[in-house]
Amino acid sequence: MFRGHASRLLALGGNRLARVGLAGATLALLLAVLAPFLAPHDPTQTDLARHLLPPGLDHLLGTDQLGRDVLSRILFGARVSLTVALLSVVLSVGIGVTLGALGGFFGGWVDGVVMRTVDLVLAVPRLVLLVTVIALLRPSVTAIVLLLALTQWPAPARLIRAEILSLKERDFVEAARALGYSRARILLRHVVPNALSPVLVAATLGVSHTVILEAGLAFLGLGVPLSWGTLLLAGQANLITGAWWLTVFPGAAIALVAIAFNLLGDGLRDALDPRQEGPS
Amino acid sequence: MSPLLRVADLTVSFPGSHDDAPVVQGVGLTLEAGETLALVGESGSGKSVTALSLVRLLPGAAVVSPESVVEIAGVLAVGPGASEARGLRGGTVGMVFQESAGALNPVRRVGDQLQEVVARHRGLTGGECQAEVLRLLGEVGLPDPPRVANSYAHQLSGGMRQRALIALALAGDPSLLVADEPTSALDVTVQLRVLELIRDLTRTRRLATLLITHDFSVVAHASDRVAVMYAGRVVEEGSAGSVMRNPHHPYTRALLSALPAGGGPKEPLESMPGRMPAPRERRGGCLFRGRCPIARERCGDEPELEPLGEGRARVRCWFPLDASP
Repeated sequence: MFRGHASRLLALGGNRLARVGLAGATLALLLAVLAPFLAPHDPTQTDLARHLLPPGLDHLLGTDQLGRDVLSRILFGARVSLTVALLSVVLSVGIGVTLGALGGFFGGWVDGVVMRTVDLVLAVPRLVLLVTVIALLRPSVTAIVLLLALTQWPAPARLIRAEILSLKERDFVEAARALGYSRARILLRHVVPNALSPVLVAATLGVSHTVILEAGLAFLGLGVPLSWGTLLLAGQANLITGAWWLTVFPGAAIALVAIAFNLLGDGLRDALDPRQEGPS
Repeated sequence: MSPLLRVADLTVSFPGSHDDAPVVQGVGLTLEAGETLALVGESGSGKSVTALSLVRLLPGAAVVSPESVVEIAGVLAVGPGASEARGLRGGTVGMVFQESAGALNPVRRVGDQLQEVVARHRGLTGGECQAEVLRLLGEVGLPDPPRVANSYAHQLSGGMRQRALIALALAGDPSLLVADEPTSALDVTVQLRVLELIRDLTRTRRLATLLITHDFSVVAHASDRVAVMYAGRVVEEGSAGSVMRNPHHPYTRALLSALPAGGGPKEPLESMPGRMPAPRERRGGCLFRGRCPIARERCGDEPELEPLGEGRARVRCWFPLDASP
């Protein structure tokens, strides 16, 4: 009966740029999911007779040095890049929110353990760690997702801990205690929901950040086959021969997705705060 | 029949601060169903600590001394072998806080918050639960309950929020209502309406209402009895009308004469010399004697809270004013 958040969320507060972001992010996800139906060619099918063709009618975005269709490779690459980005963000936010909320709410030694672990993770230079471990493990979606998640959770953990530290002193938490709720219920139903909007915003922005980070790793040769970063790496070798479509299109895909999630994140920041909703 | 609320020898201290001196000492109160008792005092008199300790909502550092007893509706809430106080909170005991803006969860709709209490303490679900939520919002005098249920706290005015908060306190069907400065944050005109609401609810629901306030006009409008607290002790207790008309304790009289009398000639208000002793300074004797105009040698001994006579106010003073019947 009491109208939920969904309608307001989808409206994105009437923010036009945010809607563009939502449309872009949705489009990217749809293209990734529907890649097998949309791709005009098999992304791994080589045809040396048709290598390095510039964009044309048969190959809308051209072909690479082995004659594979660039458009199809980008569409299938979206599956890899977005899977890595979304999974690692969901995982890191899950870990971060859980640990940060526990630390912030219960304080004491719980908080001490959580925050010292955060310090420990942050003390290790991330790129060096990622490069080393991925090189040892050999790149795979699982390895990259896990490593990204395990190095990225401190940010959401700190964010939600700071929120909860201030929230737990608020009167409505005292009021919830006066209503006889247990500590666990107060944390889960009353405190955490109040702390989620910045986390959701950070997570959305994190997706765009991770897409770029993963492309960077792939560019260093530590990517999964077909990921956008790997396409970029393969393309730059041919840039000198004038085959610009091998780098421009994957690069544009990375940039557009990053921008879309950024706009969406900013829009969510505005839309998720019910305190900004005018009098009804 | 035993009273709905019985507090005896309630003593609370915060070890580590104030040299461990108690901030509430030996407070005793009783309250019947259908009756409102106002607990009046200035800041630091211990009235809020008294209210919070009823259901053990005090901060962790607080220590309630072992001889303290609080009994609510026949259940021992504080004292030897007391049951888990959490079971009483929100159910038998409803609390209304001062800052209605902060006491409602800002990201949950008022209706959802009420539903949670109704479901938890009354076991209602689905349509029954929603109907009860709307009924409660109507009962506290909110117009258009469905709209209020759908609103967030910031979309309501201060008075509406306070009513919603009262509905929240009533949602668990309490027998004891504790209202801590329920009107202090409101406009004067709205204050009066909210006080009338609390008074009416006390009658119709047969609540025992404990009203914490620093404001004698609140006492006059909404309470049957009043207990005046000073420096952690009850110094005078009696029916609201008689205490206000005819205060017996010099502190009560000083408080009342510091109130502006509406409409009268413009005379300077009386002020009280000195300040209330901090907990660590409260040693022996009557704690008001340093500021009392009639203090004598005997005031170095501590007076007891004694009734002036059958059915009359109880006063903690060796030389009560106007003591003759």
